[in-house]
Amino acid sequence: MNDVQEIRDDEIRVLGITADEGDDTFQSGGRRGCTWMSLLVAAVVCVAVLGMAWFFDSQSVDVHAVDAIVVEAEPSFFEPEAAPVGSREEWYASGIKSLADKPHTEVMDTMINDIPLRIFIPHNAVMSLQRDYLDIEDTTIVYVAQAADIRADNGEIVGAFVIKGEPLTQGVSKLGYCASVNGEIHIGMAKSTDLFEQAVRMGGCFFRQYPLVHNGTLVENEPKGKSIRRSVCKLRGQVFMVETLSRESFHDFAQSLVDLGVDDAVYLVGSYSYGWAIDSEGRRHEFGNKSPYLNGYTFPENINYIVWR
Amino acid sequence: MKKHLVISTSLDLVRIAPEYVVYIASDGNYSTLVQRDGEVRMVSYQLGQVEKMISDQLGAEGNIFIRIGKSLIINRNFIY
Repeated sequence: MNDVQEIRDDEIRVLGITADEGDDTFQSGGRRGCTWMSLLVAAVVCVAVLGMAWFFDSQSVDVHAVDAIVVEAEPSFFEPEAAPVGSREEWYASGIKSLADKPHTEVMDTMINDIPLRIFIPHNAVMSLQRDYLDIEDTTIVYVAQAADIRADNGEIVGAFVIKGEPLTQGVSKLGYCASVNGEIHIGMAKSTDLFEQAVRMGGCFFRQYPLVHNGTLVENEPKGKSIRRSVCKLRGQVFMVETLSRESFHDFAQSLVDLGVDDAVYLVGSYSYGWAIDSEGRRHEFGNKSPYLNGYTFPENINYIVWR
Repeated sequence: MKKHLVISTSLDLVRIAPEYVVYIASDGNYSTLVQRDGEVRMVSYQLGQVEKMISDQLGAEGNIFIRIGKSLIINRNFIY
C-alpha cells in the first residue's frame, strides 16, 4: 500500500495509469520540469541528427546516381554492350570551313544505335527566327525548319517567343530554350532564364521547345509516340540540326543525341513539317511535306521557323 | 461488467460506482470521500493508499480520477 509514487503539492497526475505505462504527472515546474525539458531537448536533437543524416544520405545517393550515368555498365555475357555506332569524330571534325565559302549547310548521314540520323551543319550562316510567311524560293536560306509549336486550340505559340527583339509570347510550358543574342546561340533547359530579356533588349531571338539533352544528359519528355524527330543541338560550341530518317520516340532520339556526344539539344517541330537545307554544291535537301506550300494552303498566323542565312 | 470501487470505511465496506464519487480529500491518516448525493464518508486509509486502490481496482477506468497534490483526488467529470 505504500508503493504509490510520491506527489508534491504542485503536481497532478491521472490515476489508472501504472508507472510502467508512463509517468503521467504534470507539474508547474521544478525538478520534473527539468527532466521533461531534458527529454524534449534530447528528442529535438535526435530528430535533427536523423534529419541531417537523411539529408546527407540523400545527397550521396544523388552523387551515386550521377556516377551511375558516367560509369560504364558491367559487361553482360548474353547481351554484350555495343559501342554506339557512328562516333562524334566521324562527322564532327569534317574540316574547318573557310570564311570565304558561300553560306551553305553541310549534310551528312550517320547511324547511332540503329537510328538513322541526318546532320545539318550550317557554315557561314547566321541563325534567326521567322514567323508567318515562308518564301520557299528564298535563295538566301541555307537551312530552315519549323521551330516552336503552336497550340491547336488558339493558334498561339507555345512558350516564350522573341523575334528580332520583339516578344510575341511569354510562358514556360516547355523547359528547353534556344536563344540567339549578339550572334551567340544558347541552347539549354531552365524554367527561367535572363536570355529572354537579353534577346528582347538586344534584338535577338528566343523560343522554347522540349529539352532533349542537357549538359550531356538525356532529358525525358512526356509524349511517347513515334515520329520523325528534329532538334537543334550544340556540341562544344558548334550548333547544328539533327533529323531522324525513321520514326522514333523522344527517348530514343534523345539517347541517340547523347551517344552522338551532344552537350545540349532542344526539339524542333518534327513529323511532316517542311524545311530544307542547301549544301555546298547548291543542292536542295528537302524534308517534310512541301505540298501545302505549293497548293496555297493557309498556314496558321504563328507558324514559325528557325532559319539560317 | 462495469467496475466498482470497493473501499472500507470506519463503519462498513462500501461498494461504490466510480462516477458516484465527486472527490476524496486527505484527512491525516484518513480520507474523506464525498459522493454525488452529498453524503460524506470517512475512509480509514491515507489518500495515497486510496489512490492505489483506485488504480488496482479500476485499472484504466480509474483515469476519471486525478490526483492533485498531496491532499486531493477529484473526479474530473465534475470539473465544469
